[in-house]
Parts: sequence; C-alpha cells; structure tokens
Amino acid sequence: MRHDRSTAPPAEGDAGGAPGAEPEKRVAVRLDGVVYSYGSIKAVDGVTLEIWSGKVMCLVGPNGSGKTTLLKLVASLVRPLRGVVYVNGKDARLYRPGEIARAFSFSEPHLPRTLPMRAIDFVLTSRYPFQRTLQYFESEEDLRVVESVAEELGIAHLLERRLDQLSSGELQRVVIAAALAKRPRVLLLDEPSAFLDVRNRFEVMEIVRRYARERNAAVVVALHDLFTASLYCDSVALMSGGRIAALGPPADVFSSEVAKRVYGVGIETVRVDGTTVIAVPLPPQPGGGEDGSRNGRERPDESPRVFNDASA
Amino acid sequence: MAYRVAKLGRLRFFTLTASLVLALALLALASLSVGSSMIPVAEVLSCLSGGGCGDTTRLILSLRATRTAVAVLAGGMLAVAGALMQGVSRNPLADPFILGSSSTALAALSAAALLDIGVLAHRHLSITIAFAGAMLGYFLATSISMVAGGAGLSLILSGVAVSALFSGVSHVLLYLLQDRLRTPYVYLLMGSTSGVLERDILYLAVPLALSPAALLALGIPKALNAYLFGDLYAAQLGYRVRLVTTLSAFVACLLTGASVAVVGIVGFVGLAAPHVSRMLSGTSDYRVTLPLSALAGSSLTVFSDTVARAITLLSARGEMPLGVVTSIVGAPFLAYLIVRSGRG
Repeated sequence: MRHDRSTAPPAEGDAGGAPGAEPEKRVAVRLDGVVYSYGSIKAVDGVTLEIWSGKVMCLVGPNGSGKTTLLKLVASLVRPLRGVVYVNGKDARLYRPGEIARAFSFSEPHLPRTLPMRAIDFVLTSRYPFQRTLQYFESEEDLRVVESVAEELGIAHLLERRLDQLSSGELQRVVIAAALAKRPRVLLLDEPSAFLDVRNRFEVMEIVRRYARERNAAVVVALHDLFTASLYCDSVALMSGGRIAALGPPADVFSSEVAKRVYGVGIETVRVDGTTVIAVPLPPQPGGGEDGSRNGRERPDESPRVFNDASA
Repeated sequence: MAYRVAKLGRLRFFTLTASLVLALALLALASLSVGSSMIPVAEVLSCLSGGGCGDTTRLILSLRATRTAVAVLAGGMLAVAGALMQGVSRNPLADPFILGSSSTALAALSAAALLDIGVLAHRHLSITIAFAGAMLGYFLATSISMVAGGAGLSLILSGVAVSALFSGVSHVLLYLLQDRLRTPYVYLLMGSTSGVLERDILYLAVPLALSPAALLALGIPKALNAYLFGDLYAAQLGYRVRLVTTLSAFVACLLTGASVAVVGIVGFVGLAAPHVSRMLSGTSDYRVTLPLSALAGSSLTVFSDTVARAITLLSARGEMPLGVVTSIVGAPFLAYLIVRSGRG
C-alpha cells in the first residue's frame, strides 16, 4: 500500500530554500481546463490556473463556488473528469500515490475527534508517508521534524494534550502543524481560520506566509474572510459557479466590479500606510445601491478577468 | 518536547505491555488452580516446572490448561476484532457483536449445522462458515448504512438491527437443533469454554498469530490512525481508504468467526478491551492499542472463565455461560476507567 521512498519527489528544488540565494520562483502545479462534478452538479467547470512556489494564493468565492473541490483536484485527492493537473510540468496521474502524499499537504477545517488522540499522535501521522510500512514507531528524523514544527508554531506544550482538550485556536495550530510536518512543497488549506478570533487568524496566516517564503513552497488557502485574504495573499483567485471569475493581486481583484457582482455585496478597498490594501465587504443597502441580486452561483461566461501578472 | 512525549509514550507502552503480560500469567495460573478439584497454586507451579506432580493432578491440569488457553486466545481475538471495528467505523461503540458479525457468524454456523450436524465436529469447516457469516454480516450492516447515507450513527444502528435479527435467527435455529448438540445450545449463544478440545487451541492460535502479521505487513495500524481523522485526511497521506477499511474488516471477521465457531458468542470483551487499552495508555494510537487490547481482552476472558468455573462449583447447577460473566466482571472495571479518564 505504501510505496518506497527512493523515487524523486515531484519538486526537485531544495525545499529548505538555498539560504542567501533568492529561491527560484516557478509553477508548482498547473491546472489545464479541469472539470469535476458530483453527479449532475458541476463543482469545478473548466479551470485553468497556475500555482507558483514561494507564493500564497487565496481562493475566495461564495459557498458552493467550488473552492474545496479545486483544492482536492490540486492535491490529486480527486481526479479531474476532463482536463489535466500538472505537477512540476508532469501529469499528476503519472506520479505514485506515495510521491504525491509526501509533497502535498491538504488540511480540512473539521477534525473528527471521537476517539481520544493526543496532539503528538495526530501530528506524527503526517510522517507516515515517509516511513516504511513495516516501521512500527517513528524515527529520530520524524521526531526532529515534529519538534521543529512545534517550536515554530509555539505548540510544544500542547503535544501531550488530548485533541478534545484543546481550544479552537490551539487545535487550529495543531492542524497546521500536522500539515507542515510533511514539509510539503505544496500546502493546501481549506478554511484554516474558520473558528478563530482576529489575532489567531492573523497568526495562522503569518505562519503560512512565512512557510511559503522560507521553504519556497506553493501555498493555496481557501478563505471566506476577504479582509484576511487582502492582507496575506500574494494573489487572489475569485471563484464563482465552478469557474475562476477573477485572478490577480488582492487590491485589483477586490476593487473590481467582478468581485462585487460575484458576492452580491459592495466591497470597499481601503489603503493603509500607502501600500497595504484592505478589503472591507459592505452590508447590502436596503432597497438601493447595488443591484441587490445575490448571484453567487451564476457562471461567468466570459474568460476570467486577469489582472497584472499574479506571479510577479 | 516531541522527543520527551514520544519517549514517555513508548516507555508507558512497554511498561503496560509487561504488566499486562504479568497479569495475564497470574490470572492463567489462578485459572489452572480453580475448578471442581482445587489445586493449590504451588502445586500448579511445581507441575508446570516439571517438578513433583501426581498423575491425577497432571490429568486435571492438562484438561484445564486447554480451557485456559482457549480463553486466552478467544479473548485476545475478540479484543483485536473489536479494536479494528471501532477503527473502521470510527465509532467507540462498535464491536463484533454490535456490528452484527458475531450473530451472523453464529446464524451461518447454525444453518449449516441444521443441514449437516457434522459441520460442528470439523473445526476448519465451522470456522470457515462462521467467517463467511461474519463477513456477510459486516457487508450487510455497511450496505444498510450506505443506503441510509452513511452518516454518523447509521453504521452502528444498522449493525444493531443486523445483530438483533440474526441473534434471533440463530436462537431459533439452535433451538431446533438442540437435541442433536453435545452441549446445551445456550453455550453457543452466550459463549462457553466448557466443551473445548485440545485441538481447538491450534484452530484459534493460527488466526490469532496470522492477524498481527497481516496487519503489520499491510500497515493497518498506521492507516487506521490516519483514517480516524477522516477519509480525505487518510487519502492525502497516500492511503487507499476503501482498501484499508475492507482489509481491517476482513481480519476482524476472521477473528470473530474463529472465536464464535469455537466458544460461541462472548459479548463485551470486544467492546471493553479496546477502551481499557486506550484509557491505560492515554492514546488511541493503534500501534499501541492493538497489542494492549489483545492482552486486556485475554486477561478479562481468562478471569471471567475462572469466575464462571467458581460459580459453577459453588452453585452446583451446571456450567455458567462465559459471556454472562465477562459483562458482569468487565463492566464495573470499564465504568471505573471511564470515570477516572473523564476526571484526568
């Protein structure tokens, strides 16, 4: 069931990033006309997208616009019905499951906690793809990685605790720690900040951005919170009805008419310190202003509105 | 910190394993000494070590040793089966009985015996039939739950339905068969080691020895750990979820089938032993809980078998079914552990 680890992982680049030298930015994953549907419901409908290493891309869009499905497609957890997912320029279907498992981390917002597991047991599961099937306990290397991830995220004191004894903020850090314990080249997070207060939200995004920079990893985060997205993402892909409606730097995407139309609410962008742009969604005005119709599930027929090169 | 926690966890695991092995050895000794003719533990020890041993004592001991060995093996098998089923269903309430496998195994066995009573005399046949029955029960329960949408408690509820139906069916079948059976038919319904023969040890030992080998070779303990956190979580670690659950259920059903064919349905061990091992070790890590469950299940069953024998002796009313005693003996201990771990 487990493949041996002798084969080269999808990204040949040094995951640690060569110290001093500017790591090479390149396309880690490319989706080409990807389609996926659940029965008759098209969840992702012809998405073409490049995901760059060293960058944080945010997926935003209304509920049911296909963000989670897109993440699953990127992680090869589901296979596209049409179109191709390229990992490092090679069709993802040509990799062995073990290779994908070692290079990609995908983490969900909900963690079932019916049986008592300690935080360390959970984080160590991320090292399984690096172990041989017959290896019963963790190697020193596994423990060293977990140790350093726990230090980075400040959760060393939580490792001994049971998952059901952690607060939402603590649990989310543990979930991120598990995702990072693979030292993935591609980190995919579905709503990592769903249950967090503002400060924890910022801290989680800070960790994620730092990871992308330091390890030259590609990071894709699905977010509902436009405010956080505008602060921490290098680029934003706005989804609507299974398609990419707009793609570009947060300031451009959020100030565009497309964003307002997709969400059906007004979005104000505020410039702070001359450089930082914050997106603030506005509540719908009763009886006026916006066209009011909430058309999140509408499929944009035109090709995505692409703002200046997202990777620059 | 990670080092310290991992090292402490491993130390705790080895200490617990050693203490449970010791406890099991002591319970087995006690089990050898209790019976219609009481043999002092000192004499048991001297017989076992090859010292002075009367011929009568030797004979009684060899008969009793069979019972003890079967109790050790069957208890371990049920416990491992229970732990696997709790993993597969991601539900702490699951065990071979609740998911219906024990009942369908017995129903299959009784149906076969109704056609040809000789089946019961050939253990390899009866084990195969009981295993097929257990697998059928598992697939029946999972299919019902899948039709129902597969969410939350539906697997447990379908299991309870399957279990109730086939408990009834096997009761009826065994009732029809009862004058052709060697032992009272209740023994199969509630479990008993009174009718076991020496060769049964082998029939139990082989599946029990094969299962850890199979589980290890397939990487099941780690796969179940990952599976606990969701289908997608396991998939992103490179596991094929369907394969993992089906193989685990296969092993669980083999263990259930073999134990049902030899000792009948012994309840509670499969449910309680995994919880006991979790509460003692403080984790649900299957690499830790599978071996500890086996030891805890064996200990519980041997102890219960001894108690059943003692009750038989005191009441002089014939053999007490084992399954009754496992519940009476195990439940208070489980309750104590629940309260203790709830406070911790």
